[in-house]
Amino acid sequence: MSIVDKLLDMDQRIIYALMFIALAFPILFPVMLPMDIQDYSRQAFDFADGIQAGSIVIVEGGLTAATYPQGGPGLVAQIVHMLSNDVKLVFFSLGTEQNVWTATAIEAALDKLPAGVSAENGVDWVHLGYVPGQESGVAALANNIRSVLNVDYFGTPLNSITLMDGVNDATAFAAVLWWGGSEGSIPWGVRQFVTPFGIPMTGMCTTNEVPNYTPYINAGQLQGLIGGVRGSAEYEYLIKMPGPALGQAMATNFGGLLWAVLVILGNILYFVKRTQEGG
Amino acid sequence: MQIPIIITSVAGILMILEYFFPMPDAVTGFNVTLRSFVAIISAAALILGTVVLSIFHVRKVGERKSEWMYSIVYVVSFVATALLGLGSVRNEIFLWIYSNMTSPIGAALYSLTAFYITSAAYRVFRARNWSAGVLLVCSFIVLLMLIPIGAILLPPVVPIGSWLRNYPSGAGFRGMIIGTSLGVMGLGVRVFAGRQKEHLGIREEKVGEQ
Amino acid sequence: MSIVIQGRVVGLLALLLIVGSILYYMRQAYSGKIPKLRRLSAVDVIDEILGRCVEMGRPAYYLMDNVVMNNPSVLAPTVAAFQILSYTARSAARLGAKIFVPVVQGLAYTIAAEVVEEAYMAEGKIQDLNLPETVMYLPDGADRMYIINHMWSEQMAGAFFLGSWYHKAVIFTENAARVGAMMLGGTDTTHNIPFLVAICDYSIIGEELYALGAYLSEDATQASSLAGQDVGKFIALLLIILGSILATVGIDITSMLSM
Repeated sequence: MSIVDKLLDMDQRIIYALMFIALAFPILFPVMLPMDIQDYSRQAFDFADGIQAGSIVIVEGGLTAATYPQGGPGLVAQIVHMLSNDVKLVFFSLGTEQNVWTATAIEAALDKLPAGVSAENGVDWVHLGYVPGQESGVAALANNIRSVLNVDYFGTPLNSITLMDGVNDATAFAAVLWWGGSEGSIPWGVRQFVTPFGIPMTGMCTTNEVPNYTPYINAGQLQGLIGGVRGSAEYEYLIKMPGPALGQAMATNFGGLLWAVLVILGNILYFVKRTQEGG
Repeated sequence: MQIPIIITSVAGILMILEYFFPMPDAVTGFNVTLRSFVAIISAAALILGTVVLSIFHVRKVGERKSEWMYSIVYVVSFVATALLGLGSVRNEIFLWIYSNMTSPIGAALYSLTAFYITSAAYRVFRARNWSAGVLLVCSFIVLLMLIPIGAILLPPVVPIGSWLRNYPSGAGFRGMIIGTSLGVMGLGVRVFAGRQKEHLGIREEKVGEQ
Repeated sequence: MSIVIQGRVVGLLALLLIVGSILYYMRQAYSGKIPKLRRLSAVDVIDEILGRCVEMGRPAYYLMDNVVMNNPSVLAPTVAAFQILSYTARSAARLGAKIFVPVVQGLAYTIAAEVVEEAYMAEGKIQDLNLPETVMYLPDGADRMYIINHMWSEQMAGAFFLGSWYHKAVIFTENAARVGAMMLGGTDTTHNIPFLVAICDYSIIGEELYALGAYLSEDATQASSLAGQDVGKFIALLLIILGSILATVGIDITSMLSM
């Protein structure tokens, strides 16, 4: 077996080990490299920044254990950003696991709030909790919140929550912030909030799903998009609150470059072998 | 068997009518009630899946099928976690199990994708012909655009990558979204017409078998 | 008060046109005029893959990933996957190939088991079928490791990745490629189509999955539904061309479309 064949048939554990090192090293030993802000992230940030103080905004928390590392830091950053701008937040989730991680993000954000920023549960924010039924649940929520939920995540009756006074459908909200993670649920928000009610929306999704939502951005149905860990890192950078996403984004530099090197190597070896075989 | 189909059709058509036409309060109120039913039934569906899985593993233990010991792990874990959760979802031990066992396992399984995709790319991603070559070049440009340092290493990747994402890729995805949406509409018509019954657990009848 | 809610007139017209055409073609189908569907090359690929499995004496895997059927966007590709499974199981029975069909959801498991059993009965090979071994129920999450180990231990020679695929597509296709299996992949979940196209030997994209299911099942309802959907595609094509021309010459039709 020639060296070319041996390399082409490389044990995949070597590849896994190299990728592990490439991703772990910059997280364990933080490396800050220059970073450009993507247009979609800038658009999403500017949209959120432009929401008027005192407005009520609905936030879908769709992150799970699998996607919280990517989107969690960004969601925390946006919650801090919104509360600091005196924007009221109404959270909900479409899955039981997502429900818990949304509460985790809220807790983490409250810990990071600058002094003097008001963040009282029931006044400045409320977590409605789990809304079952996927898109049907979103439709029900958009049309009549109390038809779906009577109490919030903590068991407090909605009618006794100050922030929910007069808030019972989509018309009460100035904007939609959809942290869909890998749910694939952004189109549900577009169909149930944006199209029927005309409420502007921005979202977050995992990096591989960004191309899916390009048509919605181009059509003006989505005001920007926060894509994966880089999007979260950019949000942290833009509100000047460095966090875990920035470190992870640096790791993606090395992981991405390793991927590129391996693909180039694989193709070079392939062409060498083809030439040797006279093909 | 006609009753579930009639219920499905009537409920669906009422929802569609409400979306397009101003409806009397009685209809709107009825639809609100129906949507709340969806929320309740969807929650119940979670229990169904859990029951099916539990029966499967209990049977496996009882009949001593292959690798039945792992089923004991499931049964014990499930019973312990369920009892704790039923007591209170804010129980410390319950939350500890979730935070320190369930979540890391879920995150770890999802993170496997990165390793597999790298291994797959090394072995399979070849410029075998011109179309594969174009795909390879485009993927490199978009990859460099997406990694934070890519724009610094090679600035032209940003406008080129953005163009690729917004135009050819966006157009392709737009086409797929249109096609898939039409497929779901077709499914809706078949379900309302009673010609598609898989959601009821019944295989559809072909024309001529009625 | 307007008859139709403001901003939804165009949507209503589009809905009526498309639903009307689907119902028209369905009615035609029930009176014997079944639309002809183009034969997809994937049909031959299924037999090619199974033939390879028989020659090598190794089994094939039929994987569908997400089969939660109370979600409309998952139900459509899952139904198509069951239709293709029926044909694949019949071909496997006829050729003598062994197939494995792991399923991660209860309802889908019962349907898959029924499909495979009927396929073997139709070919008169029911005695060759060990149903619990062929159609396996695996809990979601634990299926990954089991299937990967099983792929390696059985040294499978063929694999079908058809249905509503999410991130597991990469995991299973990568392992199948390393085992040396010949693969046919197809999904309508847009973000996983590139993975399947890049890794699988053969692939079907988006709506081709529905078309393949309809063609193989020879079901008039499915075929007529596809014909009606094609009308929708022609409408979309016309609007795109017209809109592009009007936008290029500076005529703004946004207000008309927002009626």
